Amino acid sequence: METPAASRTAYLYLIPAALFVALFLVLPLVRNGEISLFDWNLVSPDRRFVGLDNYRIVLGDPSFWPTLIQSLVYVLFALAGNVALPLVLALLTLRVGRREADVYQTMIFLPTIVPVSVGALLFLWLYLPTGGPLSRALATIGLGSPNWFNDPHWALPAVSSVAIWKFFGFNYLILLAGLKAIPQSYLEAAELDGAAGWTHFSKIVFPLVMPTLLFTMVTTILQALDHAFVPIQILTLGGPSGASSNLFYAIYQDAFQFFQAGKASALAVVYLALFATFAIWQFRMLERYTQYDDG
Amino acid sequence: MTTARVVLALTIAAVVLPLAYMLGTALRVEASVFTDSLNPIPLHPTLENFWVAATTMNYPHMLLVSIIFAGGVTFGQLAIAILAAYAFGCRRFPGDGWLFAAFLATIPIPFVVTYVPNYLFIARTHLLNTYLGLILPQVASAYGIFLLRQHFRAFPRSVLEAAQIDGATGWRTLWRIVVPANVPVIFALGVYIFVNTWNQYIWPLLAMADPHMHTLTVGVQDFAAGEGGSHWGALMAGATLATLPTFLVFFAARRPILETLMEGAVTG
Amino acid sequence: MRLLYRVLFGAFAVALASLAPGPGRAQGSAPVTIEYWHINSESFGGPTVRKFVAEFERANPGIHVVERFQQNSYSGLLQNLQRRLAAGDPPDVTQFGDPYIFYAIDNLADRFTPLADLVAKYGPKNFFSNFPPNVLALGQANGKQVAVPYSTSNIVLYYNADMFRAAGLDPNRPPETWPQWITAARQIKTKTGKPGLYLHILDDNWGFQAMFESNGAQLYRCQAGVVRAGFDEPGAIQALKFWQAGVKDGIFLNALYEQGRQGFLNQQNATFMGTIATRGYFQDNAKFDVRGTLFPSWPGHKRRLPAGGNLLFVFSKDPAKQAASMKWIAFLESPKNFAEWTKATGYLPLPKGTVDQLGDWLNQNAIERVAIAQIPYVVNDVSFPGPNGLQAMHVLFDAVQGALNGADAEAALHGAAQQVNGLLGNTSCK
Repeated sequence: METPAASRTAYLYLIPAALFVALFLVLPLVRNGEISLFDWNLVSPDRRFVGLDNYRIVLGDPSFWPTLIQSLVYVLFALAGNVALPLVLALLTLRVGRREADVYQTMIFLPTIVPVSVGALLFLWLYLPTGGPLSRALATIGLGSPNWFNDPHWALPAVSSVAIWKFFGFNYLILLAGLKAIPQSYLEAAELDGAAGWTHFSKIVFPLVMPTLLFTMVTTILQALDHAFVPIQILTLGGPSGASSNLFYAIYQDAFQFFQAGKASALAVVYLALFATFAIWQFRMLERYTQYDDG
Repeated sequence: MTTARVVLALTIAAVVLPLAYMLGTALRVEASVFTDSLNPIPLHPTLENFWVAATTMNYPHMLLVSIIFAGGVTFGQLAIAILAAYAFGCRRFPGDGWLFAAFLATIPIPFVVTYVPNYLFIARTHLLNTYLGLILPQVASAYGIFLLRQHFRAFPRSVLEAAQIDGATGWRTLWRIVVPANVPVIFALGVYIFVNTWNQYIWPLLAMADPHMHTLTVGVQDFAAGEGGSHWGALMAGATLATLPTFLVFFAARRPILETLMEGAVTG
Repeated sequence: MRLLYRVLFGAFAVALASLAPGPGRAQGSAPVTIEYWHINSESFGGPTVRKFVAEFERANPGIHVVERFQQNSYSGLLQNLQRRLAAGDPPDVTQFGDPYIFYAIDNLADRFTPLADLVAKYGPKNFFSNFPPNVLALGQANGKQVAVPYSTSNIVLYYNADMFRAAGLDPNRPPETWPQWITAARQIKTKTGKPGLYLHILDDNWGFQAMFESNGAQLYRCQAGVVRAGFDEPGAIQALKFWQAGVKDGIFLNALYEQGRQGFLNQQNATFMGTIATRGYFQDNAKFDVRGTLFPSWPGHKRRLPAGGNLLFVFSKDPAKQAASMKWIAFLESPKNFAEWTKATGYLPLPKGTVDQLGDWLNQNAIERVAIAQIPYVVNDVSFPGPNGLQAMHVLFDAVQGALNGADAEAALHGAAQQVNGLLGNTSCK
């Protein structure tokens, strides 16, 4: 359809994006790959070429698999808290009046704009194992509270809950918007309770909201480790004994706590290899669900 | 209906409680910070902490730095994304599939990989402590390209072809036809970028090492940490002040934001 | 809505106004500018740093000092320092965390100038004779004085006298040894239901190190010219078992530093073993009778308390800047100014004669006397030497956390020692 000349001008539109991405993302990435082949502390003038040694060390480290698995757990928690929960809330919001819904929307969005470091500090107090509000609330219903941030089983969920609190409001708005774009009549039918309502929801509403849902899922998966980063740093330092760490934090620790740039870079390459594969698969899926008609 | 209300009310409570502690602590005199664990809001509120925070933080300037940072990054990301998404979404050219995949593959690159090389880059180019140095590296993101392309692609091809037959250039088609038709999604993307950028902590801390060039999120931390004990009251007052601008904007514009989103932001 | 606009635009106008250049700084004669890095936030020493700068500049018209606060404590400072070194533009004088001294020796040796050289070149000649030997030793590596100790703290035991009384204990006669403290903590637990003890936990091992080094063990030892882990010796195992049993019985709070500190302030744990630098914070904020006493000892052993804090390092290479840097350091370390520093921050009054300058202030801040009384017990807060030293510290930290959460203490320390020895490799020592 388009003439060759016209198609060549298409490249011009890519130049600004390509420039920025090459300079500030790809170049650092290449440099990262290079550093991963050296034993180096980032500043020393002499760095020793070690080939693939850093990869061998990183993959052989006893903490590698736990960290990888914990990273996946972070992603799963994020999906539950930042996609499933907002979806339920958005569906419920549709059932209340507009004025009321306004209040909910504003309130639920609030944590999104609080600085994440401050948000994390608030939870330090809320989760104080003795005498903090949560432990007192649990005590009134006869439950003891674990030592949230210093318990190997609770540290990760506790940190995760902070990240969820901070970031779930945005997805809630997006999902609500997606749902509201669905014609009202479909939704009203979905208010039927019981089996009929569920069938209607899964057969009609769900497919319609699927593109929005996938959008929130993709962004959530991509950002899950990033979102947990500051809470980890402020609340647990990745502990106890690494129980709340993830790949992101481990890379950061290698680079900036232990000053082992080579190892950090190797771990980053491993992370990228895993994630890029996963991301491309995700985008494929997303594209399949967002095919459009031509008017 | 009732269950819906109960669940929503509980969620609101859980969401707002930490914020009540933030505000409550900000309103307390220092001696009683964080002490009434079941009553977040103090009985005798005082604005003293706000005064301390506002006078030691140079709040107006930090606010300005934050606005320029978030605004600049939003503008930059939107600009490159609109152009690239137009090429990928509305045009066909040799290698488009591969190029698009290449852009996509950069999305999961974590900041731990990029920020040291980028820091050294802006240091070498003497852009430390400048707005350009703060903003430019953050503009590099393929995320917007991906999102917008989805929507541009959905744009009826017949309209594009008609425009071309009328003699409109690609440039004109983009700004006169494609962009106006996609305002909701561009707007939603803009809000998303703005809020995320506003919340950034590590990059602005690096790029604006000079305390006179701190953003609000970084400046607030000056009250935290330190062996001697955090100045919780001022910290929370600072955090409240840092949150206020975005909150006001959101509160005032929440109808248009929501309505724009609802015009089919993501579903296309 | 209109009101909102007015508010927003008002804020914008103020913001714009703040962009305009303020009252200009006297440009006159400022041929030398030095940059000074510190970790003293607004609420902890920052204002005093600014006051020092102003006084120093008044006394030395040719020198301009630019002070820069670094966030995230010494690790944050070191990260920024790394980047500024990589960019070729380090600060002239910087506070530098004690535990990183070997890191500096191993990795930054060609970047900083040893303080001994600077003193020899620019004076003051008697500079080092102002400090007690065990204090000076904090800034020595391989027999050379590379830096001078500045903000330094040690670990003291704060206790809640009200909770003591409630538990039927005499707050005027606090326990002294670990076994005595455990007994007291049991009584507190029985009477108040709250944990009696808290020991500093951050991933620097500072608290645990004070505990086990006071019990005859050492972080590492030199064996046949090679560095070997020492933290799995009997003294350390006994210490960890004490701590672990306490956590299991609920008499020892197991939480990271800030939670322990907030818990103490809110009367949730009866003691807090941590830095003397947090004394002022407790005094200002506690709504109870807060007191301090010596860090617990072990029967038959002398206390060994790792110093915590910083050294002043000089990174400038330019002679004029080096001379100015030395003047600035001598100014900061003078008894008069150090007394002011102690009053503002609680850091130990290190230079001889500083305590006399404190005068009546010490009577109003009695807990500071505890820390001063502990100065003779202060030993180097060292990390493991070698390129993997910082990671080795983390291995120990993980093992301790594992034990506090129920793993076998002895096995955890032996396992960690094995791992640390692997990381240390053939790092030599003498």
